Amino acid sequence: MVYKFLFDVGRCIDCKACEVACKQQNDVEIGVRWRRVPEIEGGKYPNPSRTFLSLACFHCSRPYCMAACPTGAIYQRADGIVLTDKDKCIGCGYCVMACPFAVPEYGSDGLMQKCVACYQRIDKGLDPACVHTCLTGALAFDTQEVIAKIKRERVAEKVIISP
Amino acid sequence: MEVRTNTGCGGARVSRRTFTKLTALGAAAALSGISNVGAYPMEHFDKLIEPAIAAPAEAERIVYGICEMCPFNCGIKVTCEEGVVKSIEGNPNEPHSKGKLCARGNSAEQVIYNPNRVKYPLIRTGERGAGGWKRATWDEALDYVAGKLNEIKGNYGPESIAIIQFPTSRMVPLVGRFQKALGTPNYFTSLGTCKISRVVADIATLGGHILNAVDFANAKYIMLFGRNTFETPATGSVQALSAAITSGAKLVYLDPRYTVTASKADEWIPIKPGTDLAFVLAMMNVIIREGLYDEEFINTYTYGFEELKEFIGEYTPEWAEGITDVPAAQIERIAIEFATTKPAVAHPNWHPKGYESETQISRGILILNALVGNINKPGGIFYPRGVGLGDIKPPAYPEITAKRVDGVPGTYPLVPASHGLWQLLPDAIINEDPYPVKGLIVYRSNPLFGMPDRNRIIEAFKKLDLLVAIDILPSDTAWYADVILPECTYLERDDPPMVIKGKSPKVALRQQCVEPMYDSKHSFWIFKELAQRIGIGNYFDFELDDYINAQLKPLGIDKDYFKENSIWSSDISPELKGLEGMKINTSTGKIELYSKKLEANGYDPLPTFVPPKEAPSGMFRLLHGHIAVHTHANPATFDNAYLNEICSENELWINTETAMDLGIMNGEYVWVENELSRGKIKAKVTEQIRPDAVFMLHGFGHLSPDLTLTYGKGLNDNDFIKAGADPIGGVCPMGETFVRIYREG
Repeated sequence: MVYKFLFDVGRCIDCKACEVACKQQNDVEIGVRWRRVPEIEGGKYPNPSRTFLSLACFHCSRPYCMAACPTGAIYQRADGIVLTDKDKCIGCGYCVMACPFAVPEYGSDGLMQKCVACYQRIDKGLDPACVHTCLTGALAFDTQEVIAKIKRERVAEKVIISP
Repeated sequence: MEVRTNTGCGGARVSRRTFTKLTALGAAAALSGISNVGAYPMEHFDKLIEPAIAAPAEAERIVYGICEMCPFNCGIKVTCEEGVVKSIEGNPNEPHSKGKLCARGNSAEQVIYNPNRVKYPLIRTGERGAGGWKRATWDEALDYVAGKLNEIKGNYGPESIAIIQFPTSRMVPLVGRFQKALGTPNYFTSLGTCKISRVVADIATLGGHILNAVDFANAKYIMLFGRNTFETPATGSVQALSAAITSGAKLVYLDPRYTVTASKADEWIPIKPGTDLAFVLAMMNVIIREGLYDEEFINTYTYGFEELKEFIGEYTPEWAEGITDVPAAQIERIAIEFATTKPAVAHPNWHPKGYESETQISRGILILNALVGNINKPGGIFYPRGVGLGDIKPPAYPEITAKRVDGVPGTYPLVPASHGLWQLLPDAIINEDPYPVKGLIVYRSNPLFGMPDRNRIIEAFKKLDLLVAIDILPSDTAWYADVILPECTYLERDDPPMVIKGKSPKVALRQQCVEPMYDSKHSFWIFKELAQRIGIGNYFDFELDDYINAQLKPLGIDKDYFKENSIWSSDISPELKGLEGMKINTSTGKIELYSKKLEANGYDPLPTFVPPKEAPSGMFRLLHGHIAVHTHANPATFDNAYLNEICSENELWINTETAMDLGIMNGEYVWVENELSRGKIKAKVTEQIRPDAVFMLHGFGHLSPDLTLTYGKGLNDNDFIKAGADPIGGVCPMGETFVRIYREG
């Protein structure tokens, strides 16, 4: 059983509730943001476009960060959640260079930190804070099988409801 | 010039985790663990540490309450541990949040643990606004305020004391009791720069204000006239609108700016600012001409269709095209889609546009809904249901003979005196018209920042003998006050209950999660103490708990009910069954397309279009609005570490072509100027706005240096806006604001 996030770009309204829920539930220090919602602007007036992406660690199946970590500080649980052992981290930054999404950040202690998928909540059977607070269902977190199923269903719904 | 900042605000920013450690380890150990301790005198920690030392360590505890980060008051579920708020989420049983909160609701710990909080009563020592304060005991501060109030009352009469409070406070009935007992008619909320004209339009058309009661979730065709639902997030509306879009409803959104809501719409119409009513009238013209209205509904439940039919003839789509910049064919198509897709709904807006004809704009949208018969049905607008709460009967109030200073109801007969027109107060103070106002009590409101024309307000403040601010943070108004009385936050207090109106009413209670920090107090206690000191203590001859229990009594429950239950639910069916058997509170007992109430008061009974002012040559219309992470003038979101990190400064949105004409580059600071003010702001050159308008996010440019996170950042839109009023509903025509934009030099 391996967990994954789902992000549905069509549903995201840039409200940043996920960002702040993450910060307060995990007590993330100011200046570090485990989840961010960047905006991509496009088009020309009167046909502009705005796209919002709620991004955090993807908890990759083969995490480059983990492979690059020289001290073995980054590890992966059996359920796929990628975590960091602060006692082993030396703040070298190899993980930042290795991550294709530039997810890892440094805290004021100089050590790496990133999304932990609210593993304490997961272990209690709860959703991660960002998913729990998402007002539009743009974020979901579940086993990779369920996530794939949700995605397929949403695509199917769109096909059905569009003429 | 360096401004002295010694309200005692500021100091080390304490994260919740640090704070937990701090309370566990005690003062000495904790202080050594915090950087910047030198800037944070020991005395500030006294109150901070006290509760945790006194109380034994407690296990995790859940408290249900009500959010207060914005006016929507969503239900919250707070996890506390060892006297500290640990985390916060939505109350899953509360019908709006359904367990989910917006960014602001999620940021609560940055309000309660904000080191910039007002920590103890303060009395001004230097000039107003110069930042000289002395720390006072509560007795000193309350005696000072009471002495001044008695003096003003003796010299000028009780009417020369005005009260402003924020309109969605649970304390509204008790502050109202204080006002009536004091004997002043001059009570204000911020609705004069918000939805007051919409309230008047609702009353004139539907017989009562229906709040935000739009059943998005069941609608198949949704029209929003600038109602930026996704960036003014009422959690319930956001979830319902999003669900509607997901299930295939068509969303048509009109706004001169491409907001987040616009980006989720099927059709964005960059309508010319201030012309929405022309669009609505042309839609009605098509719907009536084509016979697409709901005849049975019109005949049974509405008054004045024949008058409307005759009136609407000239408002063709071709006429509207020249006014709105929207092609006639598009208006015609949308009108037909709206009338033939069931159910279709047009949101009647909140604070629609800010024009002198705002009441009629709101009425136009309400009439549009009535034409397709979609009122009190699934997927339509509806009359929200409430329940009555009890009261502790006050002794007889003194008779108030003085008129209000804002011309309500003389000049503005339809504006409810329970809100008044606060934007007209500064002129009344300055001109002493019709009599001097010498005292102003501001409870958790921020008139200096929330009302238009800041320089004028400061001028008015100078004429006051007493300005009291009861607040959590050193807001701009507090900074200019004579006395600041620190209130505790919504996580540190019980409050009178709240009726959640909706399809089926519910009642929620704000409950105390942790002990009040520092020397902050509940506003009930503050008003009660003041009442006792000015001889009206007999109106507050009870404790807050007595009042809460009296309010809950008709429901057959008391305060303890909420220890076990997160919400009280009525057994009224949530089903929307149309209007059959419903009493409509207009003079005709029907929905008034032709308003008898407006007619009787000398106003146009039909929604005649009044064109907005044209921009003077070389000037642009200044639009203002919100973003999802901030609320109005409330410093609790702007001076909030989590929210400030996301949005710390506003920008001026300028269309790319306009910017090219002006030689303005994206990201550079440009001057904004009109006859009232001049200031610099960062330019955001974008495709997301009409070329003839510029946009500024509201809520920046604070004056109070003690709001350390937000002070000195961005520009205040209100500096450029003139105070005024829609002659019918009273809202300040904030949309009629024009500015020049230019580069340095």
